[in-house]
Amino acid sequence: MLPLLKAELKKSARKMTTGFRIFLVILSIGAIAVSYISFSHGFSSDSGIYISASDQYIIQSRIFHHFTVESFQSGIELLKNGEIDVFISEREVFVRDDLKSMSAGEEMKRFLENEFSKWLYDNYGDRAFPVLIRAEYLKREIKPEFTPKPVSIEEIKKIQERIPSQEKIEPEMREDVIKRAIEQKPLGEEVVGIKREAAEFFTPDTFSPPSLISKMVQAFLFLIPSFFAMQLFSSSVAEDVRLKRVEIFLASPIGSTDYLLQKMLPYFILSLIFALIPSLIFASKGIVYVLPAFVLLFSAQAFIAVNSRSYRELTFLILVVNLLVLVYLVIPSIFSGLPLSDISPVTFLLRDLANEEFSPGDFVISAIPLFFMGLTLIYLTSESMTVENIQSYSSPFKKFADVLSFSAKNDALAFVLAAMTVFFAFFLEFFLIFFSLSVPLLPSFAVLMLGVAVIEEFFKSVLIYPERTIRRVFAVAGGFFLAEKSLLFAKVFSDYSIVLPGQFLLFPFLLHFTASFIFAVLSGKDWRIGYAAAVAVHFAYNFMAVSMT
Amino acid sequence: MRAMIVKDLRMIARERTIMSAMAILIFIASFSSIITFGLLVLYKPDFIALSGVKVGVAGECPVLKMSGADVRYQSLEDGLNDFYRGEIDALIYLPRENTSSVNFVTVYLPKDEITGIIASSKVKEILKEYQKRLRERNGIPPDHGFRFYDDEFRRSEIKEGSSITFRFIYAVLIPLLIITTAIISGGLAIDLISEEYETKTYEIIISTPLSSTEFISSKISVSLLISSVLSAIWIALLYLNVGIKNPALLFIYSISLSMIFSSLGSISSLIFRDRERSQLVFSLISVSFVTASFSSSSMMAGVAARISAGSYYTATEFLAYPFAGAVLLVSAIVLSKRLEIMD
Repeated sequence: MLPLLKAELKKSARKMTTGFRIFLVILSIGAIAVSYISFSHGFSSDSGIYISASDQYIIQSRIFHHFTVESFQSGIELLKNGEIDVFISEREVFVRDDLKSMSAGEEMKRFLENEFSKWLYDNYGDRAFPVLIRAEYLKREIKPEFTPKPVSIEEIKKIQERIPSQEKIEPEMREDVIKRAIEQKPLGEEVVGIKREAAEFFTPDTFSPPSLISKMVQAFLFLIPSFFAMQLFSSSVAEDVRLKRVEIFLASPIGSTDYLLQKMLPYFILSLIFALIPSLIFASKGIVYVLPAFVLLFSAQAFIAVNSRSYRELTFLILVVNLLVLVYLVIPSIFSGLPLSDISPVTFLLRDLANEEFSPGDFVISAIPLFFMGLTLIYLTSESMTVENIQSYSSPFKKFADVLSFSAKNDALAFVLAAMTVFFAFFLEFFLIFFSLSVPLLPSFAVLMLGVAVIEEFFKSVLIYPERTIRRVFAVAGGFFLAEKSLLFAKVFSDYSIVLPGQFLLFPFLLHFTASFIFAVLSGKDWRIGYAAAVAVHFAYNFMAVSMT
Repeated sequence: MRAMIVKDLRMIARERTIMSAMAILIFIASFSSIITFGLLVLYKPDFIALSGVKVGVAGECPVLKMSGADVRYQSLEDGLNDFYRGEIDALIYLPRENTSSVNFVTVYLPKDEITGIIASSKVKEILKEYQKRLRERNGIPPDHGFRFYDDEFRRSEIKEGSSITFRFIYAVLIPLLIITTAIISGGLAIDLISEEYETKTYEIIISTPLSSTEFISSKISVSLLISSVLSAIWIALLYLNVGIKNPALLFIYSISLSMIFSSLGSISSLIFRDRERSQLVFSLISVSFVTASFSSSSMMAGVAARISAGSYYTATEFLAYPFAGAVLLVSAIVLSKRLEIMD
């Protein structure tokens, strides 16, 4: 029934001999053990990163490499010469005016505060911690109203029931609650730890907003093992391409889509099994949340494996794509207090792991772009599986543009493909937004606006170029506009559009139509002229729209 | 052997593979800077802005109400009504104050709003002041009493948030760049070798005066040349932008790591002779290495962090990696000779 699937399993069995399998199992157990020990041990690469000295005190902190000096003067000299980063004497802490020394000063301040807390607890007990904080996050929708309705009595009662008090906490538990509340961790340490229990109460010194960062390691456990299955899949497809087996398949009654799906199936199932294991361990629905990411990653790897010119290119492009997708999946969860974080399905996985409540609809919305991109890439990969294309020495980027252009065989297909490319544009624009975070505000806005114009006009131009008619312009501009507007129905994407001016109704369509029309007219002689003009128009519109809002 | 190296380098240049490698390193750098930004926003929200947020206090708590609140309410209900209307951005509630014992304070913050994150910083300041006042009332020292000065004995304000940036650059970003460069080097060695095996060109090469040791040496040399270029670029950029210390030592260190990985990749390819299995084994080894790297100060990431930050490290910690790289390199060459005899 599935001849290729059978052949793939047979090939794997032939390659993966019993000896190799045993070796692989031992290596996997070793990798899991090393990873487990490392994560349990915690993040330590910053140990001893600062050098401290004192003529009186001995500092015992893993962050500091500490030594004692004979006199106050020699300590100050060492600090001035840059041989130490921080010097303590009496009740005075000395630092230089540079990043490293100031950072060391900040860590020293935290160290002193921590030591002071311990000293207070030992000497005064819980009297020294008269304030314990519990934070509650309430969803609110602020609407301008002349006579706003007060909060209902039931709601107030519900909120009041959750309020803790001395009486509600057992005396023997109180000591534990305070001890946990005063314990401070170095900033950002939660990034890599697995065993991190969120304290219910905080002191004013340890209080900070909630973060999903502590769960991030667990998210990697759902994703990373599957990369091995994907690697096997892309290697197998690439081997078929390099050894020209794929050309034989193309000459057989098996179609290219069939070839891809049958080839992908066993590895996709293996990925799901890899994701199922942590799902069972953490009693989570994690497998559901990572499914859209798997669809996108497998389809992207299929495209690269078919269209790469060599193994070298395959390896590098897969690394780039894997990194891009991982960043798209993981980065939003860092900003867990903001609606933008809901753009990635992994945020919902982390919320599930943290037992936070959320709407399943929001997860579906975050999954849609990944699914559509995955399906489009499968289609494009299948279309790119021609003998001419495989034997061509064009770069994979050119092959992508060629196959997208070639796939728009008629206006209806061009309309559908234009709608699908909106998800690719949003995906790339996500990186533009995040890159702009590390650039000063004004140039970052200009770069952002220009980047958006370059990306969106690229996709539209590629679809218009083979048939530069007014019907095609309408189809592409319409498809792009409709998909863009549909995305903006979802709150997460409408928040996104505050940065990318897509919140208006008629103007964006006019923009897409005008830019596409300009490309169609001017690209007759040289596509570069048409493309540059379309980008210029799009950029001018974006810039004006942002300036007005 | 020289001709073999030139051939591979030409192919890499033609495919612009080095551009993809650079893109990977840029992504790693951006990824780290975004994480740093995210952490700063979460832990030091005043990093973005603090003005404009209003915090209310509700309950029978006169001392708390005197500790810096913007609006004071008699009941929780009044406070919550204003909170839901958007009149205030956070509400602190303490039903009844007890100045001689523990006070369990509830803080209400808006969910999924950036205001919530910013307001939490102001809430923290108010409650710190409150804690200080209560300690003073009970005869408990309010703070540790240490004061900060610069090296000219002037009072110095320690800006919060600089340490997290510093530690991320030196203890996360730089080790990640070294590891990525080394993994690229190992992956490249595997691809260069397995492609010759799979397309059967290895048999042709070996029938020429080129020996198998020269074949392996040329492939490892190409991968090391590429990693040298990549390392030189990112080290130069970090030196110019961040002012990292010991760039030459860091370069040697990065190349040593690349030598370890490209030798491991070559050994894997020599044994398995196909890309699929070689890359799989190499990936499993790399995952173990990467995770272990950050777990101890003497492991790769810790040593790289201290070299680049100009901190203290021992000669043994530094030399262990070039030594391991050299041993593995010799092992790969010896293995290729053995396998040639066996073939």
